[in-house]
Amino acid sequence: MNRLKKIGVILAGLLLIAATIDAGSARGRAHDTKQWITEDDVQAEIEVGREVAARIIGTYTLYKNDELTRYVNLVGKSLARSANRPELMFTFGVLDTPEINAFAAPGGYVFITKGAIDVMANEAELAGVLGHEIIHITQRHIVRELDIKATSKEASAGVGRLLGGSTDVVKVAFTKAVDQAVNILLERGYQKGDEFEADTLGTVLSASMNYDPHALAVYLDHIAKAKEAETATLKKLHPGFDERLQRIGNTITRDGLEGGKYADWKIRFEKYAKRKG
Amino acid sequence: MKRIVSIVIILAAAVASAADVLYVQSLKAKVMASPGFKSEVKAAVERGTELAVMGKEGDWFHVTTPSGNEGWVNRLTVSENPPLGTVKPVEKNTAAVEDQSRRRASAMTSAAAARGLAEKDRKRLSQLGLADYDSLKALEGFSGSISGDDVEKFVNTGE
Repeated sequence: MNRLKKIGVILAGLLLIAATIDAGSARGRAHDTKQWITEDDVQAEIEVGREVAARIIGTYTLYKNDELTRYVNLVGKSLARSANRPELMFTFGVLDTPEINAFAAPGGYVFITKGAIDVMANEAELAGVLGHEIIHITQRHIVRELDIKATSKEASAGVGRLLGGSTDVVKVAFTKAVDQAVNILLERGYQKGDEFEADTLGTVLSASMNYDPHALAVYLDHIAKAKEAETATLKKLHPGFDERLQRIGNTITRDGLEGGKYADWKIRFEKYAKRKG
Repeated sequence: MKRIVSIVIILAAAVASAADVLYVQSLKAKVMASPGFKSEVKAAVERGTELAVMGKEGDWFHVTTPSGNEGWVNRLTVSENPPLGTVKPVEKNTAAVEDQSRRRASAMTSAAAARGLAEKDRKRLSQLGLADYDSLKALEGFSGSISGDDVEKFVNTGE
């Protein structure tokens, strides 16, 4: 009987631990912050991101204007410090193309096209777009999808294969991750849910720096009215505007962003973004 | 018997507490009276602050700060791991490279190896106009020269 009691207590205890672990992991899933990452994971992310960034610049070329580039960096960096990836050195570049688009490579590389800046009316719209791209990075959308990390229990998992492998394996895994990331950015697009998360959290991010939370929606409206040739790629890579606008609106209402004291910094934007040359 | 019960309770408590802590990652995070930005700001907590989690509603966590303030923080500003220091690309991270031989097999060694192996490919990609490493390096240098103080001044004075 005594032995049975002991077994009963042990079983009950194991059940309690299992339930606690399950509750904990459920909270973790609900958190969407369950992304325990090491310095080595970040290093792997940056190295893949640098290659992707070089490919983006190779595809579009950089817009050579130090004043505008510095300004975009200041707006972007001020947003990034309010997000949850302080370990990344964010780098912002302007791409020399009339095409309207923006890209985020893993590790903190953000690009916006000159065409996108040209259709914007103020800094709040710029902050809305940069905020959207920053969230793709902080939420590690590509990193998670491609399983880019330093170590992995799964021998076949993405860049995890870099470890302990032969030099050929390193090269193949690294190149494959870069190719897949470039494909997501330039051909296939992010997963729909990741785009919605970038819209909603990006809106919260820009509002947290006192930019009008409606600005991203206004920018999307500009795009809807722009020439087809300048927006074809963006439209191919993103969900429909109606669904995006609805979710942005829901976030503004739900998170109490309506009616705050916001600025659009229109004059400062025009000083840097509307200057010719 | 009592010993078994104690061990079970300690194990369960340890697992529970491990899952219920968040760390502030943003420069500062506002702790709101209720889940939403319209409510009263009860406190502002600095990067690295450990928050005890009591619940969740949408994108908001119900937390208690170390000083006992209870309120809500947006998930944008927190994560489950303590903030890491700035991580730089391998070629800029001299200290890390010097330390490399003492470290375990890591992404750093792998990525460095990958870079070495990829030099030919990089040259080929550059020649084909498919990648531009020189412009990227120049952009990194330009962006990296903008300091935290520059950003602070931009935010506070508009310049």
